[in-house]
Amino acid sequence: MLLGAVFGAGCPSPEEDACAPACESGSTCEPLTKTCIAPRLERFEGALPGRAVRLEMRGARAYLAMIHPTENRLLVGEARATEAPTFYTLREFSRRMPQKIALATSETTVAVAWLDADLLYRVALRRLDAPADHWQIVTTATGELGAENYRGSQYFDLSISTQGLDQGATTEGSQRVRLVFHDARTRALRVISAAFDPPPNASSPLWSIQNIDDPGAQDDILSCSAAQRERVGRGIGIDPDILQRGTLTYVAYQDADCGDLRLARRLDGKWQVSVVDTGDSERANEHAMARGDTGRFASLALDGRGKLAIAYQDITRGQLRLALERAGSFDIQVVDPGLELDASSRLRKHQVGGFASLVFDADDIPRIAYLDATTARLRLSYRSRRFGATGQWIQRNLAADAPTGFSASLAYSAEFGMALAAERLEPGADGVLSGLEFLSEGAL
Amino acid sequence: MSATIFQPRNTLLGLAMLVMISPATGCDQARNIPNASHAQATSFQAQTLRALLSQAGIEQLLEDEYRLGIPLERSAQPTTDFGLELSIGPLAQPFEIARWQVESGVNQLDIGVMADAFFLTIPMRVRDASLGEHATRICRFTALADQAQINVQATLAPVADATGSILPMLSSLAAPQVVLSAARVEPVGSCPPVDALADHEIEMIHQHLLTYLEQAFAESFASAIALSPVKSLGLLHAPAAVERVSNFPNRRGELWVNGRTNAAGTAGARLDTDGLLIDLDVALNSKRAPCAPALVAEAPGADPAGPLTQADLAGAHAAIALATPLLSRMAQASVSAGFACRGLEDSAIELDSSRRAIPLATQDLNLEEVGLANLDLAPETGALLIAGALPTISTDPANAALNLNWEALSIELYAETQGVRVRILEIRADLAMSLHLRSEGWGITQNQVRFSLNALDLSRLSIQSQWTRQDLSNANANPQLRQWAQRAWLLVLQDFFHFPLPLLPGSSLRLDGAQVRSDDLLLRFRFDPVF
Repeated sequence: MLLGAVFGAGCPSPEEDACAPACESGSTCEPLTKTCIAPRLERFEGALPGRAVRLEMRGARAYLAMIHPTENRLLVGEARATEAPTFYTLREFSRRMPQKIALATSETTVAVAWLDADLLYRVALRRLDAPADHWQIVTTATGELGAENYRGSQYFDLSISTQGLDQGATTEGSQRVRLVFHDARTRALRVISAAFDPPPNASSPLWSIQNIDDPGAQDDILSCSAAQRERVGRGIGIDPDILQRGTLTYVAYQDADCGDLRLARRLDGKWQVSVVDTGDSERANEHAMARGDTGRFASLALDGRGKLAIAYQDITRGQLRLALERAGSFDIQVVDPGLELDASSRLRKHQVGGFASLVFDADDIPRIAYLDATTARLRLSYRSRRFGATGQWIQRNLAADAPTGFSASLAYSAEFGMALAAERLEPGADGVLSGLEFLSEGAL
Repeated sequence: MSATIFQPRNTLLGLAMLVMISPATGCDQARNIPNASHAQATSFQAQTLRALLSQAGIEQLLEDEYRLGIPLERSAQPTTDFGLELSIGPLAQPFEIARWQVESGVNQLDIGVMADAFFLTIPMRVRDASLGEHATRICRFTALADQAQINVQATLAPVADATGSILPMLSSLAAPQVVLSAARVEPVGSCPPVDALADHEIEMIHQHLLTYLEQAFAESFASAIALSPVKSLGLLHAPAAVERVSNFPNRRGELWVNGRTNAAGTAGARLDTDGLLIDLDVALNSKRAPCAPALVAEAPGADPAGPLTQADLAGAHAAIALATPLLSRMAQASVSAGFACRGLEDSAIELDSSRRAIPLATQDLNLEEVGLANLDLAPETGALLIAGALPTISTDPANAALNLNWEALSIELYAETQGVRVRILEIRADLAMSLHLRSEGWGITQNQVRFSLNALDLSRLSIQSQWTRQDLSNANANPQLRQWAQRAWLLVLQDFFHFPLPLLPGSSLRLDGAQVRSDDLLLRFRFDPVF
């Protein structure tokens, strides 16, 4: 990687041959296509960490990305059910490690995004059929989008989809990347997007930026007052989760000022925002004046009927909830109330629902992995029958040793089956060491 | 004027007073359940709540009840004078009292009031044939006096209230005596049938008007003093329930309380030279919150509160003594009702929810002592309190302290890492605590008796954490860990215990002091109206 950087620096190209903007450190500019070519990645052989781990499935392969918090690396890798996984260092950081990453796949491409030290996002792309160490990294500060246009935060998510020619693509197989994020400057939920040629020919894309939900423009959403927003001042768009299906795009996220779960839908190029759950008190024996704080760790999925479901944490009640779309509105269900009888016959309240991750399996059964923050263990809830049939939620603790369950990421494909990745923390002499907990079908 | 202003105001302790010596519980965590007929508290502890109201206190009580005046009311009275058919009155208006004066004796209360110069308009209907065969003319007269003085002798009598409870009521022994100084009557406008009379006849009619007024004063004053001190002071005399309010369903329980006047004296009350003394029997029970230990509270103790005399008031208007067994019973019932399941109910987006948490500064906890350094924790740690047993309370008057023994009490520490609040440590021990009364802050802003944790002794200590490699397995025998745990307990509990005095809104009683005695906890109050 270092050689590549030196090589690139030592062979200045004529001005007209240079990539614009300049290639990321470590990449070289391919003069014919004017694209930045990343060097082949260095294989990572050490113990796998699990910080901010993300898992995606595509066919028989599982794709993973995670942060190595002590070696300051961003690792990417893939696994097949029958093969040992391989991992590579996608990026090394000299300062300001990202705390989160986003991972997405399309039919042809896998993409990883992170927030870099300059508070701008980077996106790395690789064709699924390309060698596992062959990635291309692009910055998002190009086109109409400059560094002055936004300030990224650690609340973001990524989607990538293959765009047809009928959708405005200029090249067959063009990839549309959308990165939704909480803008640390405007405190709004925003999206940056761009169309790419499939890597490795992804030339410098033209990024555009759009507001999805702005705390300064809430006149038509009266779920809470302007005074409340001003007092809390955290903004909108915490823990966004983006889901792309065909021409439809959904984003679930938290309105942190009001403590609400919100959903934005992109329809005909416009975003429509609705409040899914305010979490406010409805019972006389709850805190009467309490404004509920809900909607953290939103996780979106569509069931087999195309119904939208959102799993999320209700912080006020320390429970895992699920909002299920029905006839234009949402039914709110308590998936796991976090109540357990202890050895002394006391009903204990566990703080559950952190890092909720929702998928539907082959039988259309919803499964949600999440953290029980009281026991610091992974937990899985699933419904006894699919939605639409009478059923109940069943919970169980997963076998992994505590503390584990951070950044739980559940994924499913028919070929691979169900798999779960999460961070396991091992107490060490200097704090806790990050490890990867990877559970596949048999353990789930 | 609406009659409601004359309703006696509940000024002393509401039933929620019985939400105990307990872990500090904000008002938003307790809710009175109205008409709590389901509250089964039938095991009465005799004379466990005693109240003394001094002479000055009775004066203040009456003054506070009738701050806007006593209701001066009398129906119209017909009479015939000098061939005129007259109807004097009615009167229905508040009458302002300048001073109340009470002298208390054995079984007797001398109550006097003084009113400064006043005038009142008294209507009088006069049949006036000149206006028609059945016509009546309404004339008005102003009654004036330089001063009014009303005196009555009162005593206590048992009276059944609407719920069937027998309550002591003040009642006059004889008709109040009314003395009006320089009283006179002046007509308001013309009144032809009266104006046509001779002067001495007019004077006689004016005298009738004054007599009517004096009678109105006497009747109204007798009605005004006929109140129940138990009700006026807001002392418990019927079943009531307090519900633990929580967003966590496992914390929702109910505290059931009941009070009745003791059989001794006149329906539990008596008058003597110290003032008015009331003895109540209190019963407490609970509907267990699922978070509370599944244990039956101890049988109520039989020891009554100690006697109350003028000397115990130390200048205060009122004193209430709560017997030690009642304190213990309150503590146990409250823990069982879920009031000790505390912590983690605060919200980042809500105003004033911090009292629902037990916030600690992470750096104050010295977590490196238990191997929890370098966890990259947020600066604030929250504590969760979990009761494994029911506490007991005893009094330690020599040290002005309450001794609170609480076995199998746990705290769990939650700290935020990676954006989620996770449990990082559990500490469990049997605690023997000495709670000191904190005397600072009495007065207008003070609505609770606060205790500071003066001494804390640990036994059967255990510490557990999944986040450390340090060996915590034998914490009870490890001096460093014991020292660390004791410090952690003190940090969590130092401002934790208080005795809420849920005075009803608008109350003019303020806590003036408290004292631990051998048999009880004594609370002193002053009337201190806020306007």
